[in-house]
Amino acid sequence: MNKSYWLDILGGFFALALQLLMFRHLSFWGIQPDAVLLYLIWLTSRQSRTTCIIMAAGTGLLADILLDTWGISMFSKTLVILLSYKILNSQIENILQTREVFVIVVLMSLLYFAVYFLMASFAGIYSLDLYFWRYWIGSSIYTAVLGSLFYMLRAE
Amino acid sequence: MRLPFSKIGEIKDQLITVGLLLTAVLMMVARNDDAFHNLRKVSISTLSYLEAPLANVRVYRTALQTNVNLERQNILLQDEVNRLRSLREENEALRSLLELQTRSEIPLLPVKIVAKSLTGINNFVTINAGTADSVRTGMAVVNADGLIGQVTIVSENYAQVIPFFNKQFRTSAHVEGSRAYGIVSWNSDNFSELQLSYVPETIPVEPGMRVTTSGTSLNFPPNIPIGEVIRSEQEPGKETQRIFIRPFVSLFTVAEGHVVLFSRSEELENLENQWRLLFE
Repeated sequence: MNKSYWLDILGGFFALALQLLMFRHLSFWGIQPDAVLLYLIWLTSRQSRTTCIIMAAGTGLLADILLDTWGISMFSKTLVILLSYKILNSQIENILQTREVFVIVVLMSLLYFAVYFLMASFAGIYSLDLYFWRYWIGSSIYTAVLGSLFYMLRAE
Repeated sequence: MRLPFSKIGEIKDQLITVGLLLTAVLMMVARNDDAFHNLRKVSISTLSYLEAPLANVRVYRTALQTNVNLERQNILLQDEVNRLRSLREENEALRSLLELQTRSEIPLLPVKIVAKSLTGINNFVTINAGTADSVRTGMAVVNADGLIGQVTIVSENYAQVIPFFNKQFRTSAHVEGSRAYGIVSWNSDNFSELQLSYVPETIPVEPGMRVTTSGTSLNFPPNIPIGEVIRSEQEPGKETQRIFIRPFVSLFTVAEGHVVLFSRSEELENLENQWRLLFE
């Protein structure tokens, strides 16, 4: 394993720590962003699909263990990365504008949170009656805004 | 015949994903199994250690509002204490006439909430007390306003509590002033009300009446306040009514509480186990 892999694994831990200790507490009306998803979207531009899938499963599993959601994050993140890797990876060559980044992240987040809430409902720890639309759309937009901000800061 | 290994290489990612997704589904299905129990204890402790410094921020943030509420409660309680003092004297005199023993008081353990998740998905609260502080599974967690939840998993220094806003929460309760019992639960469609089920429709219930624990549960002592009645409706096709309750405790702002160190009666527990063996 070369140095870049280790750095990316470290980045995964950092994103997870940020999510658990910071972004989880920056919620309003129950809406939270997902910093780990943003990290995984960014990772698709650097690593192979296999690596991204394994990283998605690894970070998802750690989040599940720490948040007592056992398997839900792991399932959603792994599936979303498998389905969207080709589209995301094809954007590497392009220089994206912030609004394009926003649209990409919002679409990814909508897919991710839809799978996440459906799986949580399947596991019996969430009722889809409970503010589903607010959580689904709100969390996706919140994540996309955060992603766009990070992109702008990086571009600067 | 040669096996098409090159084809397998092409679908390697899909095969890995299927394996990982199956693992995730297995974890979801088996999350309540005993095998996961110890792992869950470790995860609670880890998250609690990480979040402990943030818990202090939450305590300070809510301290001013808590102070105002406590001052208001203090005035009301002082007034009540004065009235209760005179009633106690009268009560003691009557008890001595009837030769009844004074009830023992249940000890309370003050705790701080070190982690809290109220996103609607598996809501939980983690407190900074565990087996080392005599906390056991099933004990009630309360604050000055009333019931917060029930301890479900205990590690040495931390315990996880399911709050009343959790789909798995159940407790026996009754409407004050009546002897009709029901089960309090959360129907998970909003964060403002609980429901009390299985109360006979012949029991008159009015908005504003208080709901407290009944004491028929093996875990909770009686008379812990839960909330007040908002409305009630008849259950279609049944001779019972469903009562909607506004909880006294605001889970979103709560930062501290007390564990009610109420131990289960072994004799009652043995009876219940024998009953289960006979009929289940």
